[in-house]
Amino acid sequence: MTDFFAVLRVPARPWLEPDALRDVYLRLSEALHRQAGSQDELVALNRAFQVLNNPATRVEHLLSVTGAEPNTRQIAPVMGELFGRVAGCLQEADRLLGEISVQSSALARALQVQRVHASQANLDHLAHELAAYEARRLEALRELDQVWPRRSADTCEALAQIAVDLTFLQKWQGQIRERRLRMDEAIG
Amino acid sequence: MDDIVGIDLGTTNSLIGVMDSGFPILIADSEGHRLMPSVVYFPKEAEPVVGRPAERMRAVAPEQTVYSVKRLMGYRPGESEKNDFSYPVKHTGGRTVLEVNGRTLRPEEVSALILRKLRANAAAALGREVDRAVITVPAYFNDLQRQATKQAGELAGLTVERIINEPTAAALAYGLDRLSDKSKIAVYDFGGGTFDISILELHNGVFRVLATNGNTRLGGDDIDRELVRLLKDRLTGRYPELRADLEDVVFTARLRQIAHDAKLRLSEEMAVQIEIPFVSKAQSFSYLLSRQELEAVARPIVRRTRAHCLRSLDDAKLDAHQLDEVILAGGVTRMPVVRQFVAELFQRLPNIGQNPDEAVAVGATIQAGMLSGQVQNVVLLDVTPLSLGIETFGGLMNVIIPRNSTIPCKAGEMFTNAVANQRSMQIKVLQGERELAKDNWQLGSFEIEFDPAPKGTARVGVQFEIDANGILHVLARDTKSGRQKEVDLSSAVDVSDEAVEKMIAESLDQAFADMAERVWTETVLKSNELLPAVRSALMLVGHQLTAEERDRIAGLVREVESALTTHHVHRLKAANEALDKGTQHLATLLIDRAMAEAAKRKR
Repeated sequence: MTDFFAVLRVPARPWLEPDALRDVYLRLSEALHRQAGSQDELVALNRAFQVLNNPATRVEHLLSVTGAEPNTRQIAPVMGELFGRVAGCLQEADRLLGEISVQSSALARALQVQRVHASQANLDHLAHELAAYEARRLEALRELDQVWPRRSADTCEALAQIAVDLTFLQKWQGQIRERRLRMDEAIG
Repeated sequence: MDDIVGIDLGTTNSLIGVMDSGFPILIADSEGHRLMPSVVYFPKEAEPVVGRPAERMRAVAPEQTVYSVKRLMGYRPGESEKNDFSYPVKHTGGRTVLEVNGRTLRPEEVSALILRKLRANAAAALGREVDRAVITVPAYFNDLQRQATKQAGELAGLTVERIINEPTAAALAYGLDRLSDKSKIAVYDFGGGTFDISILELHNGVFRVLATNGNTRLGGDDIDRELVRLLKDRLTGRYPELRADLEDVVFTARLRQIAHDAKLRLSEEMAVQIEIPFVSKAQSFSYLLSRQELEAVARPIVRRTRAHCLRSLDDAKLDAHQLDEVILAGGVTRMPVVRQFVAELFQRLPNIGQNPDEAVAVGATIQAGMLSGQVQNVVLLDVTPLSLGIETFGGLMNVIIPRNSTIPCKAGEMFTNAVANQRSMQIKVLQGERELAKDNWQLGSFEIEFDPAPKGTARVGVQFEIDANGILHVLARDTKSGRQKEVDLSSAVDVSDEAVEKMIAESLDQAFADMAERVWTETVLKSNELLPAVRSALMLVGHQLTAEERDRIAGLVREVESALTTHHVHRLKAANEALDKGTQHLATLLIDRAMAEAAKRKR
């Protein structure tokens, strides 16, 4: 398996500063383009950046290249609770979107504007909470980065947990944003 | 010298340029015009006429003059497209063709004629042949549309060195003299037929696209069409007896020309006097069209770009205020209503330093210079606009390469036999963002072959590769030789042509059978939606109307109610429409009220 840390010539660690990583990627891309590098080299570089730029996929990759793939993956209670609320909110949003989609007159849609605003406020509120929790998980990731050189099995397990959480948090935030945009479109 | 030209193959206009001692220069034709209308006129027994003289034939011989052919590039029958072309567009054998004066043409062939003309203009100006080119496409073009564009170039005798995205090209044109900048920009590219938004990061000569979004069937053409409708409404208001005559093809083409010219002038002037002599033998029409009226017509179309802009910002993980600059490209961005919209959406005045008609061509020329080595200190990192995936069990889309992945990129997928000794498997390749496979573009399908083996043990790896042109290549391992070989997607689609035709024919038959009944039912549904909506709206904000307005709405409601008791489709439709229109103010009041309450909650 390709070691993407090696491709980008950065240390294999849980945390990489986004701006510094971006600069490395741009510098290497530039060099490859100038030397008219082969398409395969460009593909590998792009792939490496795509994986390492996202903390969730970076941690997964780190664990698999260092051969430390822990298998205990439980859903933390706080994530379970968030999931329940995300699902409820999305369902409510979809129901509303479904109702609006069959209405063809501007007046009927205008009557729904208030409900849409209320639903959007719910979505915003939840998105805000998800973002706050994501920030906390990223903070935890930075702390684990400090102990990474002296890692134990627990460190790896905690990292794996963060990767799973971040993946879900990103996915949910994307779903919420998409519903919000569709509501904007629906009421014109 | 081995020139590479840069070409903007636009919906409305096309341009060609070349690098000249380190500077991108656009080439003018023998009359001094750089902008060439993307129009081809096909006379009965002579060579096709391309460009400005063809444009003049549009209003005279609308059925023999092909325009906006870019909208048909890579277009598959069955996709939604408002068929309002004045020339015959037919769908046969799973392909779209034009039938003009006895000739049957594919859209690529018409585009090739436009490219050939540009090439000839360039050769005349440079005094030497050009045979290598960079051609631009809308960023949101899918694989089929890109392939069709590349083919058009090849049909015109050009080696297509690169297909480049239009907003990216516009960014190159903007950034060429800002190579030491570190900034984030948005390119809002609203052309004659397509809309794109791209978010880029400029970093010491590296142009990196962060995200792109758009709509390849949204453009200035749509504004023209709505404006024609408005003028027809005004005309029937004055001469109701002419209603049927107004639908005449030649008259509509003439009116479109007038509307289009008025639209352009209204970017500078506040009102334009429209004169149409001889609407019929005895009647003429003159009308003072205000910018306000044009903007009322254009605004809903412009607003449709909003969601695309927000999605691209989202994908780039940026807020509007984090952008350093918003660049405009495409002729439509000359309209004040568009500039105002962009300023509000991005919370800043757009940069109008570039000529919006020329920025894309200049950028294509710079890209040509990069490929020929004349431009050295620029690197471009572009993305694929649409997610690429395959159809999985249950008709779902399984994403293999997500949208906004930097190109070139590659992803592998392993396929196994589901039953013992299964010899082959059909894979459908899709592009788009929808969850259901059927809601996305089907690029084609291909078959992979397995060696006979127990269930789950025969395996074939397939590589999906998107090259620097944004064009897909599929590589599958050959089970016999073990070698990777490129799979041809398009041929696989042609097989089902008959099925496509049959499907279309069947749906048409069905449509005629129950058309009348369905129209009535739909119209009744609309009334049933409108009437209670009007009642609730009146209860909520009715007191804000004048007594006169309330009376007028009551009258419109009575007309819908009495039309419902008849079986008169036209009467009910008209009554619905009148009520819909007559309650616009009511809808605005409702929205204002909701906005005010939302603001109150925020405080």
